[in-house]
Amino acid sequence: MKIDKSLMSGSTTLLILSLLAGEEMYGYQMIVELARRSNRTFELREGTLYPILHGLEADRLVTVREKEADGRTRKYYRITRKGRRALEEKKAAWKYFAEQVDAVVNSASLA
Amino acid sequence: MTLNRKGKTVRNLALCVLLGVLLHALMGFPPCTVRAMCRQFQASRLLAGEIEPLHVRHERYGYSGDWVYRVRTFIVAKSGETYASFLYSRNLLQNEIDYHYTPKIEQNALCAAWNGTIYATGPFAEADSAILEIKAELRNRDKVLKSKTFTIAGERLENEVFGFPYSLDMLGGGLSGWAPEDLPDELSLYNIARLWYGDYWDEDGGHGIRHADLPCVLTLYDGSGRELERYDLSIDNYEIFFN
Amino acid sequence: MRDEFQIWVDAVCEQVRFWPDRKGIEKELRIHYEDHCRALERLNYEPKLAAERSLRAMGNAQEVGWALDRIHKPWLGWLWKFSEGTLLMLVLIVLWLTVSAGGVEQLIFRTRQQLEWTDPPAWADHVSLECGDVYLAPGEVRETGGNVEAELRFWVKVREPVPDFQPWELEVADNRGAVSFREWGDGRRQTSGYLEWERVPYWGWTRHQMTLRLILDYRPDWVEVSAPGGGRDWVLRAEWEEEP
Repeated sequence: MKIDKSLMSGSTTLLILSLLAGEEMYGYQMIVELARRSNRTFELREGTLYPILHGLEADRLVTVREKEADGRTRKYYRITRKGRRALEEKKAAWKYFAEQVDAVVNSASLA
Repeated sequence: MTLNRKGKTVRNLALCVLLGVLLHALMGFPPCTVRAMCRQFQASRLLAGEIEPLHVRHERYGYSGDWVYRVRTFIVAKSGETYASFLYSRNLLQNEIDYHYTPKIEQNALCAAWNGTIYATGPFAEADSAILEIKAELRNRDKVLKSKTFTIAGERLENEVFGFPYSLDMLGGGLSGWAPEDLPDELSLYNIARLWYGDYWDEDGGHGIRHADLPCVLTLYDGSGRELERYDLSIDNYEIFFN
Repeated sequence: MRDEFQIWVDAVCEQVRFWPDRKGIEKELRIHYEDHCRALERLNYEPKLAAERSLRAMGNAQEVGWALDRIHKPWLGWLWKFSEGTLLMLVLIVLWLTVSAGGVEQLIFRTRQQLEWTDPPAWADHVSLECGDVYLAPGEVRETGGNVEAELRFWVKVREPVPDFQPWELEVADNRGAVSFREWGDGRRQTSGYLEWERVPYWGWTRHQMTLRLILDYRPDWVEVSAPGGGRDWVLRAEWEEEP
């Protein structure tokens, strides 16, 4: 299903942090994993991932380290403790938001 | 704890401050401003009253082989009724008192020479103009062979400081080998200060210059030319020529 | 000739004003792009098509560049660089001072002296000045080889760190006249002896103690030490009891 981009704005950070909550990942891996887990619903413009990651690093929600694999040195991003706390807050906010949207939409349907 | 760029910057700047303090201590707390130089001088000489700089003169100089210029700061200051003159020399980060110029401390008024100017300082705020007469004498063991008085008109530099310029025209090395009584009459104050006070110290003809106090009379005048006051002061000959 | 990706990434980096970060950004984007290309080639895409698809997936170069520029703030970047450079320079200077000038030994020695200071005795004569406190107490008087050595103990506590304290400009007078300090003799002062001094044992930053030793040819009854300049802005006195 195609999703209106305006619905995505604001949730990208939540998505990225959720990916990293499980394991550390590098950039392309995050793009692939995001597409896979969302059934190809969320397919970011790949270049736009990096401003988000660098912003998360500046806010100390993730850390980065370089690791060599297949003869190439990639930057791996890992969520920090502060990042986990931020993720929990965003998940709670998202859950509340979704419940309220449901409440409005469902009451409108019943009407 | 991993630091972001802001955190690293703050950490670096904090370390810079700590290292700066350590560096300042390692260098013996060199004073950075004229005020700090005055306070350090006051503390090292135990001058009683609050010290106030009256006149400051900065000069750049350098020795061959130096990468950067050094700066010398000559200060005339006052602490209560006591007047002082001293010299600081800065080389990169180090700034310390320069004993090439011996500090002077006198009560009520002071006369000090440095690098082409004789400074007279005291309670001179009422005076409009000043004249300084400096007497030099050429002596042998028994008597005065020659004497000369230099009269210099002063220029007001500060409220309590007059400056009396003299020329730094060092004559060539040949003259230093002459017996003082054979020197020509027409010599400037700068040359007389070293050439009339030379002594041959050893059999090999080694020549040195002894210290001598040159008496000075400072006369102050008001705007109409009336004499206000006279001071009997003195300058060491080394102050005049050793810059 | 630059390839298409190079043109794209140059356009991204052009928007990033803090140019020291551009190299790292280019490297990271390039690895991402190459990972995507390889993934497509593993799915049997032709290399040229894989490259095209991967590049298109990267998005608009300018928008990516603007977004990165908002994160890589130039003022913070330059401040960070400045802090690194300054820190390195200070470390090198401190190391050099430590190794070449013996600065650390002196710092340790004088700091220890400063901390080991003990106050002068209550019966020492004392004066409080704007710059600190000064104390004087009489010491031993000895006759040696026809001379009389009269010792004075002198303490200085000042509020400014003074790297070197020399008492040579203090005015010293005893019951018979003034004592000359100057090496070359000073015709203005009445000379009745000469003075030595020894910085023992305290030589801190703001605290100094020394022994002043008057060499005379008579035994003094008292000695007064006063401010330099002859103004007697402050005077300290030390007296010796008469010999029985």
